[in-house]
Amino acid sequence: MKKKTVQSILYQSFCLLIGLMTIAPILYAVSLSFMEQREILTKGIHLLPDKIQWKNYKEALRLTHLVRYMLNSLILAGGSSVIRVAVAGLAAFSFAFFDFKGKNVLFMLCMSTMMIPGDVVLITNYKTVADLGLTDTYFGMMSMFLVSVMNIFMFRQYYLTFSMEIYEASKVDGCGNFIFFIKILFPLSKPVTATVFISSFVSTWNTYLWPMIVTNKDTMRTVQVGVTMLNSRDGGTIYGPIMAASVMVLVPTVIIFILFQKQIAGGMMAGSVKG
Amino acid sequence: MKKSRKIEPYLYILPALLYFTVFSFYPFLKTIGLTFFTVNANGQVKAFAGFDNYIHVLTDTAFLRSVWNTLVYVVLASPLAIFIALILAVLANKKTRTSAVYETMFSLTMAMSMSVTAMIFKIMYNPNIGLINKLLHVKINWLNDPEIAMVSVSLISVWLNIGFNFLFLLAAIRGVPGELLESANIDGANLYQKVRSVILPLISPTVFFLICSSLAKNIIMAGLPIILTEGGPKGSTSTMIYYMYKQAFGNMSYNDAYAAAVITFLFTLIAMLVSFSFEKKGVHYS
Repeated sequence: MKKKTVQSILYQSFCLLIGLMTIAPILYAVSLSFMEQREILTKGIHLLPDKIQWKNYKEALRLTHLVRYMLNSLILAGGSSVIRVAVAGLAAFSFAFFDFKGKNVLFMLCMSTMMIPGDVVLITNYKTVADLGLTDTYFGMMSMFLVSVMNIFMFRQYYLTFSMEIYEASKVDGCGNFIFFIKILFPLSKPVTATVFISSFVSTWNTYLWPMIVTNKDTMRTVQVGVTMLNSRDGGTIYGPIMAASVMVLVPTVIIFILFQKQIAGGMMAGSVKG
Repeated sequence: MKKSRKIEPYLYILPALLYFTVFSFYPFLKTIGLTFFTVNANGQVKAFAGFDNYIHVLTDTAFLRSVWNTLVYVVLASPLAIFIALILAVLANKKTRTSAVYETMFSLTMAMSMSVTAMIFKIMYNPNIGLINKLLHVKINWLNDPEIAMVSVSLISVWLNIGFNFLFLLAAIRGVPGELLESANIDGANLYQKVRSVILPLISPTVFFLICSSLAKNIIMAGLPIILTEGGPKGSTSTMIYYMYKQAFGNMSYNDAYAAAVITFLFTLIAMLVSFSFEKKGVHYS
């Protein structure tokens, strides 16, 4: 018995060590963000800062509109996630609760968008958004992330398990379909809604290419674009502030991920099951 | 469910369908259509061009280099990220008191964005002050040596994809019936044998899914070269979508960009078809 406990402790320590190695780049970035320039430039291996100081953070905030970038990213990620939930939920409601002509064809049509990678149609979409005068606007930035077929699929899978009796009973009580969706189905489907919202929030917050292409004004940049701009500003010599900015950008998603791992993981698995 | 002839169910799908039409089907067909025309720097159609744009791109050494780089990247990054995640998933399979902690650590790269990760690795790759050279006691110019820059970029993507792959593989391995592993134990199988002949066959659908999704994701990668290398040095890190991006937004050459986009799409399609044919041979569904 005792040998087993020792073995288990050793095994867990080993796993934790591997875990630390896996996230070492993140830990190192945090450590660098607290170092003085001379500590970063030192010849030897210097893993931890001599003392915690916030100079790099102040400098990062002074050099960029990081607070504004945060706000932009929040609007982009929050706004498009809300729209995603609404549009996907509604479409899934139709696919799960109604029987109508062409339903399977329409569903396959939606699913076929998975075969068209967003980056392949990037330029044409940029042209569309530019022609509509939507560059440097929040709507232009969100336009690429408003609907995901994966979300429709996830909602549909969840709705298909919903009790038909409740639906029929509410009909008998004279409740219209839309009212049923808003008042009954949607509130009773919080887990799937949370999964869709959180996973699309994290992925939109982390997205780089599209927001970079549709924004030119500095005040409209997202955090992901802003943090790379800091790089080119002084020829990449201001490592401390760059790492401080990076840490400020990664902390929100890392915290969301740690808090809501179950929802995010559950959502991914649900999405991968072929229906 | 009665067949309803009402318009109602269509109305609920309408927003999604409209969106897909405007931002997926329309640009897809338009991109394909435009590859057969010459387009000026403002994106206006000038004349019918047949296959000239494709011929131009396919004889452009910069594009061929980008195809090669993309293949190197895909072949390196996709399997390595799955392999490392598999090792981590085998490690984390047994539930212990602290397993929640290291499971979170193993999957945490999923929360990381490409741009922040690129900034962190840029410092770690720095030939003079970077941690990697210091730890390995070498003087490698990771991102500025044309010979290895693409490998360095691939390693960043490997790290980024560990978390995603890990979560899927862990769920799959935990789904392997305990009795099967028990009987393998009784037969005196070691860990490698257990993984090779019990776990791997049973989780192959998940592995297959991960191969498909990482191929599709990696073929269209452009973010890392844009942020880190601008395709350089000497075009050694230019990927297909990076080439498309540069031709469109850097050189205003939409002819090349559209043709490159469609060729890239064909690559993703081929990758999918190859994966599917592999599925028939190697994947066991119980």
